[in-house]
Amino acid sequence: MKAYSSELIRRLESIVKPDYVIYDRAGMGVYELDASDESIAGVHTPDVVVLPETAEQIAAIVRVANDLSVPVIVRGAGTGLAGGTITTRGGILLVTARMNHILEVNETDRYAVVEPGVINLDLTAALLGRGYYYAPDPASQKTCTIGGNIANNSGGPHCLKYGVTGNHILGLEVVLADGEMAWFGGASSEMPGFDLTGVMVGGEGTLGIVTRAMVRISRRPEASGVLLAAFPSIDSASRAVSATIAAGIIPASMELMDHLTITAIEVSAQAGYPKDAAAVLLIELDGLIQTVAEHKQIVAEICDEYGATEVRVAQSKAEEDALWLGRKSAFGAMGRLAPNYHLTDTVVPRTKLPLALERVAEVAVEYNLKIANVFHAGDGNLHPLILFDRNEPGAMERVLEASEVLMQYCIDLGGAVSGEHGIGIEKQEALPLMFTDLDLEAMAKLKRSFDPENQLNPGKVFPTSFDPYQRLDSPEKVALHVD
Amino acid sequence: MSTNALTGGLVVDGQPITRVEMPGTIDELGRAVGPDDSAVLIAGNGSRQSFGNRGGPFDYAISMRKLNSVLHYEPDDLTVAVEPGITVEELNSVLAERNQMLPFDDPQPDRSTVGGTFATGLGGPRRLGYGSIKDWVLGVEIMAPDGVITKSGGMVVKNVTGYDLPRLHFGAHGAFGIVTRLNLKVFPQPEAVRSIVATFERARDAHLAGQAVLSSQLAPASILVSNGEGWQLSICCEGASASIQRQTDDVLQVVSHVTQPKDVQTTQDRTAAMWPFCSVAKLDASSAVARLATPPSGQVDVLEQYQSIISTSICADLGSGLVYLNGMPSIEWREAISKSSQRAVFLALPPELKKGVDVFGGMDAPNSRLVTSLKDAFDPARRLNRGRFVLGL
Ligand SMILES: Cc1cc2nc3c(=O)[nH]c(=O)nc-3n(C[C@H](O)[C@H](O)[C@H](O)COP(=O)(O)OP(=O)(O)OC[C@H]3O[C@@H](n4cnc5c(N)ncnc54)[C@H](O)[C@@H]3O)c2cc1C
Ligand SMILES: Cc1cc2nc3c(=O)[nH]c(=O)nc-3n(C[C@H](O)[C@H](O)[C@H](O)COP(=O)(O)OP(=O)(O)OC[C@H]3O[C@@H](n4cnc5c(N)ncnc54)[C@H](O)[C@@H]3O)c2cc1C
Repeated sequence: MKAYSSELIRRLESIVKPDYVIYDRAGMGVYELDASDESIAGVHTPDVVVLPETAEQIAAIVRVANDLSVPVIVRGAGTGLAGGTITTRGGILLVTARMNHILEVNETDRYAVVEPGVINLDLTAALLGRGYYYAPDPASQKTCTIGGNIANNSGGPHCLKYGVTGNHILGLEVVLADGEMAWFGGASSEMPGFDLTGVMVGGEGTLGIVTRAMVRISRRPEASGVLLAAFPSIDSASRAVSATIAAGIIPASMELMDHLTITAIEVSAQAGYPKDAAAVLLIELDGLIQTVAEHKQIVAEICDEYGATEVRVAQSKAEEDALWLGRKSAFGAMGRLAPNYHLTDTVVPRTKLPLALERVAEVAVEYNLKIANVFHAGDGNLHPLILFDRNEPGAMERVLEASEVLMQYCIDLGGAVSGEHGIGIEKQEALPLMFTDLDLEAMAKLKRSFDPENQLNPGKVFPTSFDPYQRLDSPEKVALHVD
Repeated sequence: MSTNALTGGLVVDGQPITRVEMPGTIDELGRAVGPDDSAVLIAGNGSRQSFGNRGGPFDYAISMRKLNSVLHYEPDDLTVAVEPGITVEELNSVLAERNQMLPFDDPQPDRSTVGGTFATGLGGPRRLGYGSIKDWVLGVEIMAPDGVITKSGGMVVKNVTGYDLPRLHFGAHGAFGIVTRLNLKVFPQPEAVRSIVATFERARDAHLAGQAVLSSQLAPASILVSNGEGWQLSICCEGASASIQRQTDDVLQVVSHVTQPKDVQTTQDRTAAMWPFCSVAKLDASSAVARLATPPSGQVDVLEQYQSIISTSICADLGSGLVYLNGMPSIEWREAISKSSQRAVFLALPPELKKGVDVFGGMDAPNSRLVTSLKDAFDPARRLNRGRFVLGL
């Protein structure tokens, strides 16, 4: 225990009931890890875990943290894959699990106000009977929280047409680093001034603590349609993705699964996917009845043209759900193939998918690894799942090396380090692959403006070699070219 | 072509600026920004300088109009990268060659630059169907007041690599840096477009009919209610040819189900559906235009209240939750709007009426502190657009 601990705990217990202040080793055990890779994140125990119930309590906790110079790290459901909730420098782990109320649903003005601990799918379930839904749908939506989604600007299968979390957040109530509360944005688009709501989204808990969110709710489309197309190669499947978009059709979702993934799914979930296919595309279309009918036909023709060996069109809601079942069980099914997997979330421009996937296959051979692909193809958002056994000596090193090679290749193709899972600690060292120190300094200015004392989720996002609190003076007052 | 509009100098809120630099390359821009601490006004085409607080004094202006190239266009990826000085019309004509578009609803597309549109953060009624420019921006490059260029975001539609700095510069009027490049997501052009304009006696009937369409599954691109001869409900439908007729018929059915309109006009382009917005939101130095942040449920009250208090053209945008008011500039008009409970932003006011007001409507204490510390971090010497931003920053 650190010197400040007893005072810290006493003061926290005066803010929330002692039941909700946890500081015994056993009680804190579940908060040492999140869904990120343990061998990258390491195991770190917070100084104390606290479960507040209101924004005012969070503000009070942050003020205590300021007084005692203790970092504050927020945790939603801990499904984050980048280690954003890991308390690498100790501190107060603030868990939003009790702040799980939907406070308001306004259909006329098309928004809902929720607390940050509301589970993503619970919001959509609450809206279902009214004919509305909350569009961003990470595959983890049964457990992840809206607060975590906002902090990571999460995506999901249906983000191709409807956009990521950031496109659906209208306003935020935030506890700032000094313990003050602020509202950004509101029910109308483009509130006066500029877009601090947009700046907060994707802040990974390093800029402020979201205590309430006003989110856009969307009207359920009139019609939907789901197709499953089987391809003789992953290349032809990815070309069909580009061809569909180039034809002016934007499906709600286009998910690609390769042979290895299909095998795993069929062993565990028996979704009825064609077992001999090299790849399948799961395509969902939605919108007006006539448009969906016409687009289903065009997409089926495009798949044919690109060599699909089979195109199934779901004829009922039950058949649609059955086709989705395979995709939804894909990650869980990987356990059938190997004891562990490492997911590399990276993006390329959609037309570069065939090249990127070719490289994934090469890397698998070069590093003697099995790599499964199941990903948001319509967005160009790859998720190579590198399969391995943690107990095999040297395996983890090979996996990380392969992962970095792939990331670098995707960036060279014009892509990005992370498409939707965030940077946290998992990818902080990869940021320089995309950004110079000057670029990072611009981000550091933002961080310092929001959090002058580096109190909120310190040590995340920025590479360890770049201290955002060490001001970088511009080398010369000249225009630098960036290409 | 309006490239020459600025060569004779610029008048901003009554203050003449005689020296206007028009760099044609990034190097020239760097030199124009210079190493000193002089105060620079940044202009796109200088067309909408009536929006912003009374700032200055300015030593000189820099127009971005000649930095107007398309840097990279990948139609199959639905992405384009441009320099900021390209006009909305120029960009859309490039995209049109590939049957693509950006759904700016700009009242003057031949004059507005894409950089200026991003920097002012103004969106139009088709935000309902397509989102606004902040949703289309994938990445930006920014020149800081010391001439250093940095990038953020990228060229892909999904990207969470580092903070979302493009959002900081959206609507910031250049307060945190000069936009030198914008990477944008583009859209396929719709196969078919319809404007539906239905006229009612009462604002309430027009608006309730609009709300019924908004909550239907008919997914129109925009819904406006405005005054003229009676009250008009103007709806734009865009999409596949296969569904457009049925969509239009069903919209009319939903409308008539609420109240039978006096008159209905349907046309096969979007001009009629956009006209109420374009005419009310026309900004120039002699007009007074305000925008209220009012979600649909509060709009009927606003329509009725302002219609009777002051003679003003009004346009309510149901999809965006905004109401635009265009009136005869006077202190009384300004005060009537400032006093309303709605959050008002003045998009245009004659210079004399800007004295003593924050046209952005001000901010509460925590927001003010944040914005000020951001300005201190990104433009410590207050060189860029001095005084024109929110809080007079
Ligand atoms: C099986 C599986 C599938 C997944 N599928 C997807 C997918 O399809 N798309 C996708 O994008 N992601 C996916 N993820 C990743 C993950 O679910 C998302 O990043 C999710 O948004 C995290 O939510 P959470 O509540 O678990 O947040 P946590 O993991 O608890 O926290 C994530 C980050 O958010 C911060 N944070 C949490 N709450 C707040 C708050 N109130 N204020 C400020 N900061 C806060 C934390 O500090 C941390 O940095 C998947 C994960 C798993 C395990
Ligand atoms: C959807 C939509 C809605 C619109 N709504 C309205 C409206 O309601 N009424 C109306 O008349 N016009 C409206 N516009 C037009 C809009 O105001 C102009 O597009 C915008 O002001 C650009 O004009 P400009 O290029 O002449 O820029 P200017 O008028 O020269 O500049 C406008 C502002 O942007 C800043 N700026 C310009 N370029 C840059 C840059 N490269 N980097 C940093 N800052 C820069 C300037 O400093 C200034 O503060 C709308 C446009 C669109 C697309």
